[in-house]
Amino acid sequence: MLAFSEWISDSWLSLAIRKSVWLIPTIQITHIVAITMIVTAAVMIAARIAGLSGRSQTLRETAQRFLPWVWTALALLTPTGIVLIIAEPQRTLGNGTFWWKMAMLAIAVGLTAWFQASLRRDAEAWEDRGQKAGARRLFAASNILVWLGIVATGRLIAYTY
Amino acid sequence: MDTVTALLTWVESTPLAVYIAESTVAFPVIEIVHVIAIALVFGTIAIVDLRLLGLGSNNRAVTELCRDVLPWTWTAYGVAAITGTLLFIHHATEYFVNTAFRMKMLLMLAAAINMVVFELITVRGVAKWDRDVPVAPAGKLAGAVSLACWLGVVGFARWVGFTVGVPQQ
Repeated sequence: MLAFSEWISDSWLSLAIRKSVWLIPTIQITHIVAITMIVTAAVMIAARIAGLSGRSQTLRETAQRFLPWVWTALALLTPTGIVLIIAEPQRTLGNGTFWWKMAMLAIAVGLTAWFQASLRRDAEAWEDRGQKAGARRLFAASNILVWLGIVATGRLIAYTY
Repeated sequence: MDTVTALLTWVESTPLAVYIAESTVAFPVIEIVHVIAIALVFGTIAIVDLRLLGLGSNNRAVTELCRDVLPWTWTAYGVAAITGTLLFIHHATEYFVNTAFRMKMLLMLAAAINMVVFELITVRGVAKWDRDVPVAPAGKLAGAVSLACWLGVVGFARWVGFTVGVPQQ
């Protein structure tokens, strides 16, 4: 991994990104704005499941409003994240915190895809009077926890590098 | 100006500020909570702003959406304000003179004025455009201004991290 990091780090692309004074900050800001969309979407969906918000909407309507935010944000987060890795590969690839973040990201994406598929298959079961009360709450809580864990480890990369 | 400097220096010397500055854990932990809180402030405000612009949640009345979403915004804002104050006091003199920090405060002030105008004046006629997509021009303008201000707040907030000498990057 070290050799790989060094190879990226020495590439013209990595050098070009680091040379620019505004590119990394701009990309980080884009990365953060995208994460705000995901945190908000996760909280709004969980709040609907817990009956704390959006009660005039069905869970399906709430999911239809906010799940696209998650996928759109991921479409912004992935390329910006890759550019940040290319700029300073050792900061992430050689950093345990980054791999924790990636593991949680895999779980979060899996959870979101599962939720979306399950809702499409049987939306009724997910509504307030459906039978999946346990699954609903477990999904809401773990989904928020995993995304917040991703934000936390994302910030911690700067401290553990 | 000397009084301000003296005040900020005093703030920095309080036990809490010294603790945050000296602890290796305090700053990152407070910062993470601050980031999560501001993510929710911006994200939930954006839900309302996008509705005013006719770009999302268009099936819902503006007043109903506000009742639903804004309590989350205020709660998150409270957490962001408390953690933000804690971050500020540990290097008060440095933050105070930082351009990105000042821009952030200025944009928050602009967002606050925009909100007060919206709540006190624009919203009076809401019954007429509550379900319109997009809403009346004044409401649309409020949404656009709010979105721009808060986007700037997030941007300058990140920029503070690049320019104030704190252990990150």
